[in-house]
Amino acid sequence: MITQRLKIYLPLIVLLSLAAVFMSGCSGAAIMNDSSWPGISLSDDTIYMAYANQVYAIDSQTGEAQWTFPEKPANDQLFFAPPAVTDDMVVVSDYRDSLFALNPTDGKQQWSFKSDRSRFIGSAAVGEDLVYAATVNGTVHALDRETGVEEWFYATDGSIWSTPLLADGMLYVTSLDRHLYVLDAKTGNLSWSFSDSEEIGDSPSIGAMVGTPTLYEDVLYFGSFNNRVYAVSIEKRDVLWTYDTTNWVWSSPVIDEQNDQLIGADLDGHIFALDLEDGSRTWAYDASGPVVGAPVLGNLEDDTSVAYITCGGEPNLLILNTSDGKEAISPVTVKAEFPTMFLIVNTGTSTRPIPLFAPPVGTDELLLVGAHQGDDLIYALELDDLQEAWRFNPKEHEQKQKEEQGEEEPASLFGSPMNLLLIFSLALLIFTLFGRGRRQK
Amino acid sequence: MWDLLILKPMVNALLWLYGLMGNSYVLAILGLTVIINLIVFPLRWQQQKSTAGMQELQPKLKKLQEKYKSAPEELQRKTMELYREAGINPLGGCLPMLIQFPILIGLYQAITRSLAASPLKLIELSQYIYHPVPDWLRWLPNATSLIPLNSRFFWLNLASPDPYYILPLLVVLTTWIQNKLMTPPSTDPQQATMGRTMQWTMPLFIGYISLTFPSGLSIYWIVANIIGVVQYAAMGKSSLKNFFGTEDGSFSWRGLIGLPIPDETSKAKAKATRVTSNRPKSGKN
Repeated sequence: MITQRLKIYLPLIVLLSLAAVFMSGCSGAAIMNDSSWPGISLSDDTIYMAYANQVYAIDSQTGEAQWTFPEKPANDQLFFAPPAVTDDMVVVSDYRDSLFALNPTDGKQQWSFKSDRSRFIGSAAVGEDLVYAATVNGTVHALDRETGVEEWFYATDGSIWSTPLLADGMLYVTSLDRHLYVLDAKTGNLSWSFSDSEEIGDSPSIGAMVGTPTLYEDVLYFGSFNNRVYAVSIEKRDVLWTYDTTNWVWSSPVIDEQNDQLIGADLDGHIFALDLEDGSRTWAYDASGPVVGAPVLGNLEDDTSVAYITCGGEPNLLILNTSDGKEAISPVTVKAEFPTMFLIVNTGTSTRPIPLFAPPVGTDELLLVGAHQGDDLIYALELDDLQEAWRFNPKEHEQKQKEEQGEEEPASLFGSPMNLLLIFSLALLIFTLFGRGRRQK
Repeated sequence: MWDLLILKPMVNALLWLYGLMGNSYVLAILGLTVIINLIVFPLRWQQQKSTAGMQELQPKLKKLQEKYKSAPEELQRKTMELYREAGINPLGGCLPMLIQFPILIGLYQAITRSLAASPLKLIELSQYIYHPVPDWLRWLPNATSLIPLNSRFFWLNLASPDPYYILPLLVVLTTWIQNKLMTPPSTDPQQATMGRTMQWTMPLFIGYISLTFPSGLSIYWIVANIIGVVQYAAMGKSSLKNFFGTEDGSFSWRGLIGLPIPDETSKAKAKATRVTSNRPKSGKN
């Protein structure tokens, strides 16, 4: 009897279990975690963070959320780009197709703009009169700052993931189509574009770009997926020097004025300082994992100039002396707690290091790092000793809000559809193995 | 180990094919699917041979089971003898399947990884591309210079699900056709029930998955199904008999959707029963 039942029901049991596993992989949560990392910006005492279905305004002293946008999150609306913050507005972009201007004090929407059904991966750049943002369809949009009405657009051939750089009336946009576009910020007319065609060593001639370029004394510095960092003169519109790395360069380089050098990193974790004049390397440091976020410069209590750098390995937070690239303070490993599961039963928690891809953000007293794994999205560390000050957990915030509003979580017997399917397959297996058969007449 | 031996070579092969095929991702998927299927063809052949041999032995096995119903040890001994005489390894169908399974999973993962459409996925992809390329592979396109891949194909963005549900429908249809052509109708009612369950649930399940997965993956499934049908046809295994579930391969709706086909004798019996039951009852009044 058992063999007969196994023959009939086993395929169904296997399929249901597989369906449960795939459902867990296709759920909204999986899509969120698979896309990007928290985008964090800072203005005065407020931290603005975009992650998954919401944007949060968080008090930097306490780590408490002040408001969220939208109030009721939608499953298909995802925010990851760091919000663009000015005194009177916060501009956030989503992975669906929209850009929103919010009031920084209460998060109320001022206006919104819908693109040509194409998502925004990079942040917006806010100018005096216009707001600029680019979509993955390769269109740069310029919107009226007060109303959100489109003033002009510029269509490129590829996909744009970067945040445009607005400087001196020009808009500098790096693109995945292997071009740097320089547009007149007022009219949207193309002033000039740059695409390297020279093959150097092992590097291919051209590469895609996702990092925002850095402009310093009329020279643009940016990295590319052809394993190369470029210094391009905006006057000559030509390459001044290049530096070859071992993997793609994702992060934007930063300028260390004190030492007349540029600090950058690649996805192999190769961190380097380059002389601004000729691109020669002054020092290098190999991190344990990919460096995605731009380094942040600061000073220790003894005035030592340091670079805070996050990476994907263990340790995942480095504090390097900018003058020689040596560790100014011992590296830190930020760890997150994860539930340990046996089938669908939670058996406790375990702690492990997490990759940090978001660039660190520094306040006067804190260093903020964003994490895309684990329940906590922001870790606030004291700048002087790097001890943890607070963490921000959106689930706890949501729970607190519900308690304040007197809402109770509806009791769920099975938790999720995935659990329901697993329980059903288990019940079917038990019936197949131990159930009584129909009596023969 | 998995990444080093399976995933990295496949991701890079897919990128190289993309470059060699004029930056067409669909052609790259087609190319890699054909190459992988050609590589696993000998294993599949072995597996089919073993399955066919086992099927041929079924009547003899049934007889043995009836004969040694009360002596299981003797039954096991005789069964093994039968396998030995026929030159069949009862596990011969499993091993080739076990070997080709990781290869096919690797192909699936290579497709999903190379279609990186979000920052995290693109960073993940960067860790799979060979840096630097070994000297003996310099003649191939530089994979790094090909990123990002052009994922547009007619109305499709190959990194996203098909918005018009055409590919999921084709996935269901081709999976169902492949299953039908390759599964012979069973005389054992229990096996027939199991076969019917699988023939419908499997295509629907894969169709459901393809609703949410990148359409590039749906293309892979469709191509793999078509190649499967062609390979089995080349082995002489796929037939209209299987497809329509009839003895002579003639058209039958019941057989097509997997219902049992009543034979002529049972049809006649059913007719006779109907005639008897319709006859007016007499002798009561």
